[in-house]
Amino acid sequence: MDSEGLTVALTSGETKRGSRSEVEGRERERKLEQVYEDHVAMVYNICYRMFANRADAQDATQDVFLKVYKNLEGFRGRSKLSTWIYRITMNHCIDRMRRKKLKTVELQEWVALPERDHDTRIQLEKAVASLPASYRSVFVLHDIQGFRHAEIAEILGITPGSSKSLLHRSRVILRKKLKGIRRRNGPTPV
Amino acid sequence: MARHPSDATLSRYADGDLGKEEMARLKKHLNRCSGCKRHLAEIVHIKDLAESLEPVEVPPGLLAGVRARISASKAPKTQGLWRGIILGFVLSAAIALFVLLPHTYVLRSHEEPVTPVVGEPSEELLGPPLGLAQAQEFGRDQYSETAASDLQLVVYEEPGKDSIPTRVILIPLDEKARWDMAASREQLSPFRECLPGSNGKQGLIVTVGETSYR
Repeated sequence: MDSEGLTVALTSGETKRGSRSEVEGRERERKLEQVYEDHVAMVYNICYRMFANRADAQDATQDVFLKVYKNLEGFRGRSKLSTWIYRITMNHCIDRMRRKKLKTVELQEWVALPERDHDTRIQLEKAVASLPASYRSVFVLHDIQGFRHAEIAEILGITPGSSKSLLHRSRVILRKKLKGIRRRNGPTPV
Repeated sequence: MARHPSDATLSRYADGDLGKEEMARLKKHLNRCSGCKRHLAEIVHIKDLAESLEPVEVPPGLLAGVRARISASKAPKTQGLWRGIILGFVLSAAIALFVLLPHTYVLRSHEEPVTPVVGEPSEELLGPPLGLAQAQEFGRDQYSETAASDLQLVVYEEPGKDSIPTRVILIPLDEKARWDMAASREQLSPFRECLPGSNGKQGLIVTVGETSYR
């Protein structure tokens, strides 16, 4: 091969490599967009309920999708993609809470019966934000986001029994924190 | 059921998470125990409230933020290398300036024309004169903060003004400018004396980028 031919061959190889990496890059980008579209609402809502503020929720959500992007190639499909993403989300939230040592909210003043349901919801959000991380995780996933215990167990890497136990204990803590809140309309369930 | 059930048991009852017999026993107890009934109502209410919380809307622009983080995470090593090179260059420039600046920063005599000490700013960067209050806001302490941004200090002197620099101009420049400014900081003290009140002049111009601070 003469030098001109070699140059052409090298250039052609580089172009192929370049175009292949470009194609791969676009493919990853497309996958990210798809994954983002499908899961951002749940990820953001989980983050928001875990931190009870929008700034942390936004920041955490972006971090979660950065991690998803970086690890998407390595996802082997042993669990559902959504479970995998929510596991990343929960791990990130718990890790962030530990790193930031987020202060729990004092609730001593919230013992009076609230005037409206809206106020009660706000109080509940704050009370949830005051729960320890493990209780908070299960309560947010089960009672707020509607996951089943089997799913929660998979996301958090615990048994379904532990998930139930944490949920019931979290409700007990919340009941004590929000003492006085009760159903005003409708019958007491028996 | 002689004993009162625990709150956790009541929570399990609310979820239907107890065996048939236990459910029946607890139901019987609840029919005659108002305290447990109230506790159960509170737990159920919390559960209902949690379920009724509206989903929060995802703010726009989050995906762009994710993309920015991805881009930033792709080039940390290169950035670090460049940062090192720039830092080395800046340090060298700073040392050179430290040696040279005292010679170039001599205030001229009264008859000489207006002379920029550090560099000639373009005309459009010049802002209107500052008043005393605003000028004081750009006092020394402020400089130490703004020095972290891209500002360069240029001190002018004017003929017949007792060799006091009468205009101070801050212009955005490169990394080197920060060192110029740091080196010039010692020379800033005279500008306070030329503010209105001391000799009746408007003595300061501060221009940052396109924004003029009056």
